[in-house]
Amino acid sequence: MRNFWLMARHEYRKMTRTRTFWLSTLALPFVFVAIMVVGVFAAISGQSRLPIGYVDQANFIRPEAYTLAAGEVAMRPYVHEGEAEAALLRGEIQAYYLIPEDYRQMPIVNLVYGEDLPPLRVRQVMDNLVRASLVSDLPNETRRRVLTEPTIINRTVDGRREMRGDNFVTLIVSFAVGPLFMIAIVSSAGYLLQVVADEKENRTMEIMVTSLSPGQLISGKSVGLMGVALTQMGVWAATGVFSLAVASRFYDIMDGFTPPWELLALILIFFAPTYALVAGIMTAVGGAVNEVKQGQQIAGILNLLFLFPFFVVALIMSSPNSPLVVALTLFPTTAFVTIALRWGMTIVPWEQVIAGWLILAATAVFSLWASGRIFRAGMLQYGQGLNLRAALRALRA
Amino acid sequence: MTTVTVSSISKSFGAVTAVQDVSFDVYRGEIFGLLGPNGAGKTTSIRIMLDIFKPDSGQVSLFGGGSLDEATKRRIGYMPEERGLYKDLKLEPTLIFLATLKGLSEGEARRRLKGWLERLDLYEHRQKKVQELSKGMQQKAQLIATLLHEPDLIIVDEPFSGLDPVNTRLVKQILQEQKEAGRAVIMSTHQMYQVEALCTRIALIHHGRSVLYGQVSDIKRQFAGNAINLAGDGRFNELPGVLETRQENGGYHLILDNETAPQDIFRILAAHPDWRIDRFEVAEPSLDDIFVAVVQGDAAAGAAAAGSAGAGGERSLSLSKAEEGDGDA
Repeated sequence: MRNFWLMARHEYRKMTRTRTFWLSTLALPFVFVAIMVVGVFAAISGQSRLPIGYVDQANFIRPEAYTLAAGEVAMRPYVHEGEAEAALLRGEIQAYYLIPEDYRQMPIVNLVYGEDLPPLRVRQVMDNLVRASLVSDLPNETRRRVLTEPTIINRTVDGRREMRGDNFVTLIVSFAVGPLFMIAIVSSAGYLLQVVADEKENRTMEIMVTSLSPGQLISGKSVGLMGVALTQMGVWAATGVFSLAVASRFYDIMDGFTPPWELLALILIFFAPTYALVAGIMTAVGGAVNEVKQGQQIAGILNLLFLFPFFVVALIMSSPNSPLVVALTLFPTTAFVTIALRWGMTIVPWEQVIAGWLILAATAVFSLWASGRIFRAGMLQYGQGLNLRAALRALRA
Repeated sequence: MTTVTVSSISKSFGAVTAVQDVSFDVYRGEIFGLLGPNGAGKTTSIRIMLDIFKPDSGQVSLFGGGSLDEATKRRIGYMPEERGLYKDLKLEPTLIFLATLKGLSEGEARRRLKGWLERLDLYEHRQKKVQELSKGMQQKAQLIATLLHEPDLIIVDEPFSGLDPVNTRLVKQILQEQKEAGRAVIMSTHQMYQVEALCTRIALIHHGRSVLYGQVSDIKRQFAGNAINLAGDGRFNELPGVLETRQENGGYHLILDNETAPQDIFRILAAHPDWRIDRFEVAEPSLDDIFVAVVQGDAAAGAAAAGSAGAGGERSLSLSKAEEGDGDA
């Protein structure tokens, strides 16, 4: 058992100390953060802090009815349009609203601006002021109800899914977290293949198996690299949380956000057997081939089996309960991603989830057993790969 | 005391028989030579001993036990012919990791490693990646990985490969020290003069079968032909009973007929005071000669007989008789 953990720790350290690992791990968050920074920067730099003027010809605006929130631009009243226009031309205000006399009969307001149309967030201030002024004569409680939008809770008929409002972040998280996990699994299993094939190619395997059993060797490596995958996911998750936290200071995107706990729990349940299945396949390939490059070519093809749902993502989004999508839910290599992608779109029946997991788990157990056999048969066959017949013979032995 | 007992092991890979009915023992405090041409079955035999391969039949016992558990594995140091260190890792952490797999703590491994690195002139290179080291340096590093945990059984496959004469001498000295410390050393090599210098006993495997087995001195004696080596000045080609005279190494190698003994020649030489004799010795074949003779098939019949003869000592006797008959040692 000591050697198993030593092997796992060694593999984890070896991989996480490489430049390649950190480049591949940080590339995604870097792109994510870069996009966010550019967005925030654009939002900040493009925002004028100059006041907005208004000419209230209908004479109903009550400035005291609305309290400006932090960061909102000031509203400056003008009696005549000429004054407002002169202020705009002098650059004292960024725009002004002209509220005509017949506004109560025909709610049309003119917005006059210089070069750039004020952003929506700025224009929203005027909307708020107009609404607050219109209901300023009502009792406090009634006014509060009128000005506060109702909270709508979306719920499925069987009560399995409940979501506050129509928050797009919840949808995005549901949609992104499963595939990201899958990418982490596939890439860490790719490392496993590389490690196994590499050690076979440079004969390290022969030294290792005089200290550990093949089972300890492979399981130690697998667990170490599973740690690598989790580290990668941890970095991505931390970046995601950080980005959302930063973004929420500039946009109200987190209002109504509900973490998809059910999906996260499901992903954790599917993670182990999916990883075991991929690791088993990659170990078998690594033990059977003669060169790392050859193994990577085969792995590239096999990865398609796991990533296939991405190719039919349009179908999953438009018809998440179609027969093909249900079949992908039950097929062991595609179950994980398909369920994750379907989750945000529909209610996946529990029987499909359970059946998919059971088939996946059974296949994973077989994969580990078979990979042990093939690995043992192929690990010392230098200079020649293990052909299909020899692999089948190893399974029957 | 027996460290390794290999009893009639056989192993086939598909239609290819790699090892057939091979047996030998290795004792504490000896260097045992496991010899044979390329593809003879040496490495397969070693891998069966190390439980990398399961034999189709036969048994291996290490330290008197049946199974090769983790504790037993820690008592073994193995240096394969092809260097098997992590190429993209630094030397020191690699060797420490391998030692910890053999049961040492990191601290103890580090402490022991310093001495070995200094002795083998690798201390300055300890932070280099293995792939940056020369072939000879990698070979020495591999030797450290084999010995760092002080194993009771040391198996080295071509230990002198890639080494210059100075390092070859150093590695020989280290192997001698291991032997003197009471450890069992199995050495597989093609360098017969190293075997002659280091090994007390050998087994020669050819076509998967053990064709020679026993004490080096016994085997050489049994393969000794009726010949003498002479150095001096005289008409040696006129000596009676001499079939062939060859000039070798500044002297003469005389092959005698079956009726003439070396002592007869000695008497004749003594009767010629005008001839100068600087050296006279009964010719003994080198292990290299024996190896070539056996492998080239001169002893094929003897080998076949030896294969069915039973114990190792009897095998070498059967083979040497066949060789004597051929008169080609």
